[in-house]
Amino acid sequence: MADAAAEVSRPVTASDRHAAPRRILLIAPHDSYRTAPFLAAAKARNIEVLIASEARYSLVSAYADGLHLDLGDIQASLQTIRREAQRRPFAAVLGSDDPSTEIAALAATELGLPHNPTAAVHLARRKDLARDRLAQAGIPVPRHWRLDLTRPLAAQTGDIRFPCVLKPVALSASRGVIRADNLAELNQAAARIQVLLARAGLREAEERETILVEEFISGFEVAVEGLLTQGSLEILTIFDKPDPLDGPYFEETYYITPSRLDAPTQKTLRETISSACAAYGLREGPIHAECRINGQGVWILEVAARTIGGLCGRLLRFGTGASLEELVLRHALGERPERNSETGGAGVLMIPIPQGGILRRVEGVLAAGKVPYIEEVVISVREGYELVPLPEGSSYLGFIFARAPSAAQAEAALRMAHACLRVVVMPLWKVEPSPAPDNFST
Amino acid sequence: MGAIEYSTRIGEAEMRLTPAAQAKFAELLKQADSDIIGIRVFVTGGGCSGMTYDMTYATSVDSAYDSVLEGPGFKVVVDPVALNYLQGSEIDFTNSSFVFNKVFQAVGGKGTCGGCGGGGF
Repeated sequence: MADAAAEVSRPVTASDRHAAPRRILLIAPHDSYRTAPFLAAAKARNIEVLIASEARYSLVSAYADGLHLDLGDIQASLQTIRREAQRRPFAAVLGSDDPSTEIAALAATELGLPHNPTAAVHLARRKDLARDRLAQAGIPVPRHWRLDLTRPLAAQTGDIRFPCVLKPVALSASRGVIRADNLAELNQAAARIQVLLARAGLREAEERETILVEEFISGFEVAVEGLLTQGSLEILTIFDKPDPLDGPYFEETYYITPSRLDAPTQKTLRETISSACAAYGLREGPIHAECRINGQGVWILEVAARTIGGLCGRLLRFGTGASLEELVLRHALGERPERNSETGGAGVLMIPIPQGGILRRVEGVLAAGKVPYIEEVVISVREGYELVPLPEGSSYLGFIFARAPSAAQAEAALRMAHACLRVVVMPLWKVEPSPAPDNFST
Repeated sequence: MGAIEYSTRIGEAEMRLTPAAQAKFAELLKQADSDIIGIRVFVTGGGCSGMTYDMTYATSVDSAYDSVLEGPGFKVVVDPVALNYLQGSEIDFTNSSFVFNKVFQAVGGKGTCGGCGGGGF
């Protein structure tokens, strides 16, 4: 991979604004939470968004009628995008989720559109490479090690300090992230992550065969949404995560904004994230950062070149009610809409999956929705579907949204609403094919 | 043209349960809530990673489609798609796990697509 600094991204210029059509290519996985908000934002602003995906046979018309790519064949995908751009040009190419940000950067490069360097986007997606780059740039990172799953672990674990956290290098949403307090726990966690990686659909062998291990950093965690313009970072919002995230798994739950951190800490946070973006080479578009703060300062857990995941983006409204996705689309077009966030507090609870099994029903949804300041309760798993908790799972049971006069009131409302819910789960028993030779494998 | 009859009883030639599996099913059903009527066996997946065979509690039997295997203290409910894959299988309960330990007529197979070697990764 070329050095990020060797590539120079092209900023949006006045001539781009006048020459380019209001047409954007959004490359999205078929199951992305973000596609619908982007399409709604595009409709609201009369921006044409074409979805590119692998979902040729999707029942969702935006996918079925969109551009169809084979992300396993990058050159063929780029050719498909080039052909479509020749037919009707794009003003920008965006990747909605981690797996599509790199090809979006590649496509934008080919089409001569504003973009992040592909090497920078690659760094933002690969936790292990990102750690190395941050360390090189003098930004505080926990001590870290790589485990190569194709080699015996015993020879690789001698230097590891405990407690530590094991992470897949290219998955998100805390999937496969496990704390280990000793060597036995580390070996158990590595075996569990190895099974998960084999099933996760990662295309690169290195991503399926590598685990990042880093020293556990205690502290208060925040998530940050930002927007980069020619390398300059604008913080859109800081979400506090009021519940401690000490493991053994790291399930996201409460996100509350505005942050109640003091101004100097917020300033340090902004400077550290800005330095991380510069170290990666990120210059344009949305970023989503996760950081820990303790007595030693601000620690970067990740900076991704995309917006926040799940349905959490709907919590944010800017200026005269613009959504986060609207802001990102207009930014890609070179427009600079008003940014002032709404006053008051807001929060989201990513409803935890209490146990694995088959979802039978969620009781108390109406009561939860009636709690003061609760805007909406969304149960995103249908009855009869399997619930898979972390670290193997990759989706939430649902979301509760609150908007209140203050952040504290929003958080209290979310806690009260969550207490109204009772998740009824039926057990799920796996029936494994026996290893006997006269079984299915014959 | 005469109507085609669809049997809703699972015969020995279709799917069997070992005595250990029967006992475990009966034990699970004895512990279950009062509105649970049996154990449902179903399949999911397909494609490169193969079919996954799962079981959970059943709250109803669709008399038009479901097939039932019934014995002392237990009732197993299978939808027609799953039954197609389970043809010729035997479910056992051993070492605290449910397994297929015999196939006397491999109809369902692994359910892999074969397009990429069937191994997934």
